[in-house]
Amino acid sequence: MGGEKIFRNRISLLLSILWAFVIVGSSLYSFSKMNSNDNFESNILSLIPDQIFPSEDPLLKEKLQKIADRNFVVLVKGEDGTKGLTMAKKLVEEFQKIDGISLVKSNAEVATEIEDFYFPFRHQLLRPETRDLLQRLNPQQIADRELQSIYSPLRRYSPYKFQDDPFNLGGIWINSLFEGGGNFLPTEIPSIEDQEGRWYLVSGKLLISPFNLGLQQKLLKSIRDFRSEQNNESLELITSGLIFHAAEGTKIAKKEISTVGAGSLLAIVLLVLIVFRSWSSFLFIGTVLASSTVIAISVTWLFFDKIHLVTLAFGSTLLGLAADYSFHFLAKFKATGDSIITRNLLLKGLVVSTLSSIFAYLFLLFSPFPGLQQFSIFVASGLAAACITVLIIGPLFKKSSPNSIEFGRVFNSFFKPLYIRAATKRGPILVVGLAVTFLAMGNIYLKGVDDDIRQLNTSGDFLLESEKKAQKLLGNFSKQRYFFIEGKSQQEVLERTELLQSELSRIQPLHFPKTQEIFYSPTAAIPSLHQQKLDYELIKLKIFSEKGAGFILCKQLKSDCFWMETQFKFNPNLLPTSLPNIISEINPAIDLIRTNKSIVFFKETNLNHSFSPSNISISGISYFDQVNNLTSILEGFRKQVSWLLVGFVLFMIVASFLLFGKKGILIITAISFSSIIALSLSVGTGITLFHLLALLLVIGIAVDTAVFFITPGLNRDTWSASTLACLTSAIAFGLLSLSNVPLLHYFGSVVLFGLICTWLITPLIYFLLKEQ
Amino acid sequence: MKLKPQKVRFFLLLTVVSFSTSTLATLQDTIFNKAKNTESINSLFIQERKISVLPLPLISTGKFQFHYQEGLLWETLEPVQSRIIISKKGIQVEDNFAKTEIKGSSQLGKILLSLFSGDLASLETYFFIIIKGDVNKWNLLLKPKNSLVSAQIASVSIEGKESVESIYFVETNGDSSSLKFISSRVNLLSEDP
Repeated sequence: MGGEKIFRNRISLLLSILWAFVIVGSSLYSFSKMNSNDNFESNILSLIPDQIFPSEDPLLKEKLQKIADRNFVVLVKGEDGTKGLTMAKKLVEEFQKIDGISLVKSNAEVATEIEDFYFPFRHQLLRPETRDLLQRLNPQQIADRELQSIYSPLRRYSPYKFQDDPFNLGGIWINSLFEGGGNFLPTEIPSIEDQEGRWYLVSGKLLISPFNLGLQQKLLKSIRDFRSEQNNESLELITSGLIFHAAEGTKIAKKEISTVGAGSLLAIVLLVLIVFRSWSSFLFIGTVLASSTVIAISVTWLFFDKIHLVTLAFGSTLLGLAADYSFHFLAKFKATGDSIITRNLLLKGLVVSTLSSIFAYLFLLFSPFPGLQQFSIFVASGLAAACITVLIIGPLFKKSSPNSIEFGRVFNSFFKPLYIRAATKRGPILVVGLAVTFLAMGNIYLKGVDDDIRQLNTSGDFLLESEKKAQKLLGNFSKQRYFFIEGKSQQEVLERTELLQSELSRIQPLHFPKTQEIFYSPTAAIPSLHQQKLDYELIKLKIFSEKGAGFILCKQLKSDCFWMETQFKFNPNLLPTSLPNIISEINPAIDLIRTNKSIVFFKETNLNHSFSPSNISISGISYFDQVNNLTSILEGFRKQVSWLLVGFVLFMIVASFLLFGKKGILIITAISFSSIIALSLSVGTGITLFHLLALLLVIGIAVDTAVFFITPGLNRDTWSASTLACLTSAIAFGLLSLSNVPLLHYFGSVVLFGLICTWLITPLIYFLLKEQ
Repeated sequence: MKLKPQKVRFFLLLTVVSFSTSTLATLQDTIFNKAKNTESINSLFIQERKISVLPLPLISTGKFQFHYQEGLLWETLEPVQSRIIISKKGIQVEDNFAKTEIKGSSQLGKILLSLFSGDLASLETYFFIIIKGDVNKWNLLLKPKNSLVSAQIASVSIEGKESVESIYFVETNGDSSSLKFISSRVNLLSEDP
């Protein structure tokens, strides 16, 4: 007998040492990962499945990102125009100190470079509206129109001399290249005016990803320093660009991690010290939490390149869950006074409940969201580590005299009698239970479903308002909807793009602005050679032919037109490969043409439903609406997860009966009731995918609680442990439910209500079944 | 004690410079305050535009109106007809072909509106202002402050007495325009009691 005990102790010690090696190894691995750069991810888009992107082509992805993600704008307004300019200059100086960003040049040299480049092609380039005008009007009307303009006291932008471009076709072409160019004032730093005053535009491009944490910090610090340096109440800043949203997402995720993590830890520490009143218990729980966190982080890094900050925010709830097992062990150990007996008593319950929770979390692997998959690995491995640590380290406690925790008295003196009394009134309890269930189900049915993509939003209201205001002032294009064009050659891509634009102008509703105003297309900088030839012919015919508008204008101006060049030839050298870099900087979509691809964005962000660009079917052209795509992806996944949930519940029913026979009813009733109530109380504007995913966790928690009530059985010790576990998890998920990030909020609130419901209802069901 | 001629010369120079600077600053304030105090101006204009390649200047005439609340109305009557309304909201052009709204404002439109409404700050955003003369006959020379403006405008010279009488506008490409305002009737805002 004595020998067997020594042998058992040796095995325990050996396992402990082995486990300690695993933990130390994992710690070293995690530490090395933490110290090497770029092992954390803050890009919210990486939580979303990849299929919303049109192609897996890395070059295309990079170009798309360059177009959509790498630009940023800060608009500066001071007390008046002069002070605003001084402040804007100061901000430019601040930004120039940052590595990783380049400010967009807006000086006359840039304009001259563009003007010089287009000069040889000025007689073969037409904006769609100018083309339309030349086609509609006769030469006399064209000349009269030009004459009006010449006599006007207003001077239009005309980069070329009158003799070189008497109808200013080149000027119109170049002016349209600049986004909102016509609205900007040529102040030292370009500015734009609205009713509030003059806003100076400081715009830049990021040389690296907007999700680079270092760059985010540098940019935000620079703006913060600038604000505090100015210390001026009249200073107003409007920011626009993905980097600001990414930085906000990072800030929120970090805040969630520290709030949930610190809140849970504090609650655990306080509960341990108050309830167990021993440093060894404190050390035990500390070891369990540390081991589970280290293992969770290491395993996640083994499976994924980077850990997402949202995973860590979610994952901080692990602390609450991992503490549960320790509480069960400590409560039972206090009651028995023998750690080996305690382990043996808890072994089945602990293993079954851990496995059910792990199983629930691993179900998230079926979710198509990489973020949730990562979260499931994180928590599942953490829970496994917590369970193993409890089972290995727990038996190292020395024997002591049995002394159940004081806290358990509440159960014997208050809750137990209350539950027993309630259990005697089976009829009314059953009626109330059914009524509550039906009401909850009715509420869920009435609220319906919600697949709005704003669930994925991590930007605060202030930032979104700022973005809207900037879009309104600058008239930027929407990056959410676009056409993707492919072809065998650069010219084919350009021709298809032009065909698309002509189709779109044909179907667009009458109240819409003209085509060129609602599209952002590379053909605004480089038309196809075919279009250039057509425009060349049109210009030649309507303006420079013998009866053209040019000669009529000359007569009106009383000139013999000796200066007018009429014998110019078509210049075939305006090709995508010949464009200078400065044009690609203004219109980054142009770079794509070199790879036989092109993108056309919408400038109009409020397209109504009567305009359905998705109906256009031209070979090589696909329409992408990321808003609709994401919405339908969320809807599809919600349906998919609903079936998974049904499958999981059915599996739990079968498993419960197989493992616990009739007592399995306790598990089934607990999970059904808690899930329905939790969902009903947190449904908000409708059931989202994230509500359903959170339900998996509720089921896991309900199974945990019910299993411990079956084995070793409901008594003051198991109730105390369950209550403490519920309290710590409730704090963790309660803090998560306060999150500003919708998906974290849904998760937090569903699990919080599920926890509370499970804690309240499972003992009642236990006594109801016992009474039976 | 001996008087040092160098010091005397420096003192005299300083006095002259300070006096003239303060006088000119006062003149600038007077001109712009007067403009600010103007309720309306009605006049006729003659525009003479010289385009280097054309043998003859292009002359146009018409009516000009300014109201401190509504902005400028520029109505060309000869040889073509058009109406241009320039206000803080933007520019509206009406001619034989269309009625067009132009967001923002053209540089010359901005200069005209700032001049007639006495908006010195707005002019100073774009130009260095050099002032000559006295209240009875003054001249403002505007030189572009930055390369974006100087790419289009070389200089603007404005002359006036009671109000603006002529504007001479030189473009960077060598073309120029002169605007003369004749038969001007100026109404001042009634002063507050």
